[in-house]
Amino acid sequence: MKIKNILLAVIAALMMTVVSVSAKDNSSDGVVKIVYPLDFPDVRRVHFMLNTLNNVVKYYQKSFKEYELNLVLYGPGLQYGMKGFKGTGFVGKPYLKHGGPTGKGVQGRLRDLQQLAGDNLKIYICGNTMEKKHVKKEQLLSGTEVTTAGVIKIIDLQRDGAAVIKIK
Amino acid sequence: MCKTKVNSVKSSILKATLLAAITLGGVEVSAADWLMLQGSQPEFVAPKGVKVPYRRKTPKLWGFVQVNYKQDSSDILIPAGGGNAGKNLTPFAMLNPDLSDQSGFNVFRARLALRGMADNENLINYFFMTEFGNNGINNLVGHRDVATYFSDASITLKHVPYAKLRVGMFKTPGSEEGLQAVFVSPYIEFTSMTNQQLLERKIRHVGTAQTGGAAGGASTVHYTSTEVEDPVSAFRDTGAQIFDTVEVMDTWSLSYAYMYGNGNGISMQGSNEDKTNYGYLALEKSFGAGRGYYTEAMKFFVWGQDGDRVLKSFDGTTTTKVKANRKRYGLGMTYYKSGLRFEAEYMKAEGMIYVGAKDTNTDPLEENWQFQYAIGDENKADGGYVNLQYEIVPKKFEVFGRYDVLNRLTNDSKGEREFKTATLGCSYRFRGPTRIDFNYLIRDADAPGNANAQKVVDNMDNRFSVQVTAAF
Repeated sequence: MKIKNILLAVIAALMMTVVSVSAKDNSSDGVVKIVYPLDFPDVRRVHFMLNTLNNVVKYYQKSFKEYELNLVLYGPGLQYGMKGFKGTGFVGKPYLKHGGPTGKGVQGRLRDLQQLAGDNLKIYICGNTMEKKHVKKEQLLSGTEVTTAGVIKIIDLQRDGAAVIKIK
Repeated sequence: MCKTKVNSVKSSILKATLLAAITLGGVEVSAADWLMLQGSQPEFVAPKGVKVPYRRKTPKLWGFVQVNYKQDSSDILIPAGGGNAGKNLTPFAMLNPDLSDQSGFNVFRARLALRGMADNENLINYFFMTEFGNNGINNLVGHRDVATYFSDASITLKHVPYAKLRVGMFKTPGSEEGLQAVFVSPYIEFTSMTNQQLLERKIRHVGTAQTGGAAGGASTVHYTSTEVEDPVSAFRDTGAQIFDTVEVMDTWSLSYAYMYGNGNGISMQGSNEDKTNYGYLALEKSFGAGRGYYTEAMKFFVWGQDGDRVLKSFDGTTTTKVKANRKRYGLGMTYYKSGLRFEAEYMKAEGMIYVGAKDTNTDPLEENWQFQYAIGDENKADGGYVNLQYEIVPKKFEVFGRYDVLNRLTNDSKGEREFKTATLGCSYRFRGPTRIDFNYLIRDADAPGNANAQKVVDNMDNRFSVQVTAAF
């Protein structure tokens, strides 16, 4: 009986070790982390950014690698995360809903990207810009998350090992 | 007691002022209206989605060209004998601006304009527009010497809240058809009421008073010009205007304008002998989308114009001054949403009733067109239109129809004329106002109390027009 208990304890300890090693692999070496700052108004650059984002998602899904994609909207780029514009410092332009390579506009492509990447994609909205431009939470697109300051979020993600991809 | 009452009144005024300031203050007007679009640079711009104060110091250069071809099917009547021998009695059969033929190509409008901000704070704006086309501005009824080659030169001062001041030469407060930017509408010709009674052909020197045969059978007193000295007014005048648009509720805005002008249209005249007052009030509900002509909105408006007109009548030996008044007023509405546009206006005219161009040359092959007016206050006319436009392909392909009427000289059974026009057409837009328009005008005119005049207007028939517009 004693031997049986010792054996069970050893097996349990071994199992815990395996789980722990596995978790360590996911949080550091195993997960590819990327952050895209969207701080510019130029819609052509935004479409190019979306092209590269789609390529990133397709590559990692095809190669079964774990990835974490972060999109941080701040400054003039915040307009691309908005659905309501009344009373704000932004104007709802037609390119949000029409045009671009797929004809769906920026917001249509963002929705497609959210569906494709699922939980691997996080869209952060800068709280500082929202305050300065009088943007309310209910004016943001669904699936977005407010962060205190967009630039601090980028710094934090970079310190956490994320590659910063700047579209020029 | 008296002092207390005064204080109470002062307090009420203060409260009302404060209430108005709370209601109106700090708001941003989003509705598009012609007063603001033409008279003021925007407070904010957002070319890339980010709203920033307008501070552009370089002028904005813009313009448009309109080339058309028209074919009129009316008959021309030039009597061989009688009092009108050799004179063309059917100006309605001829094409504007020179009334010399029934078909042809025409560079109808060719305008180049500059507008912008003349200071650092966007409190002083300017607007300048030239005209090189062949139309009433440069070649009114074939009188090329009246050409001004420009139509607008104005300065707007925006220092006083809710009371912008515009001075110079610009479009006067008035009907929608006249006030709107001319290059956006797919209709190639104005309605009869607008063309005859609002689009003023100035006359200064006239002959003696005319009635009976010389006045188309009318019993009222008419005068005919002896020379054409000014271009067409082009719905413009030189003067000063106080105007603004303020948001009164969430999506409603109120526009007003009062102008005092010389009454000389766009002619180069510094005199205010024909001084004219103009007023305009509009209430507009914005549906939130679009801009300029494509602003989705519903607007109700009223307007009025009242001016003096002084004519110099020459009887062959002496010149006498003849004074008259010119009153025009009307109301209307516009609606545009989801590609459907509906417009309606009703207008009235009193005094200085334009009764048409008259050929004064007895040579059947030559014309010298002059303008005839029934000048007295007793002379009246009224008219209006309803217009329906629908974009089958949004902002690309549009079909439209408009019905307009003009009852001219309703106070004179012999001189009365009724004009009815149905315009049908379609328009294809390449980009914005750059487009091609097709118009077909089904025209009819009656002289209900004058059999002889009826024989003349029976010559009127339909007209086909096609026009290409390029705007930049």
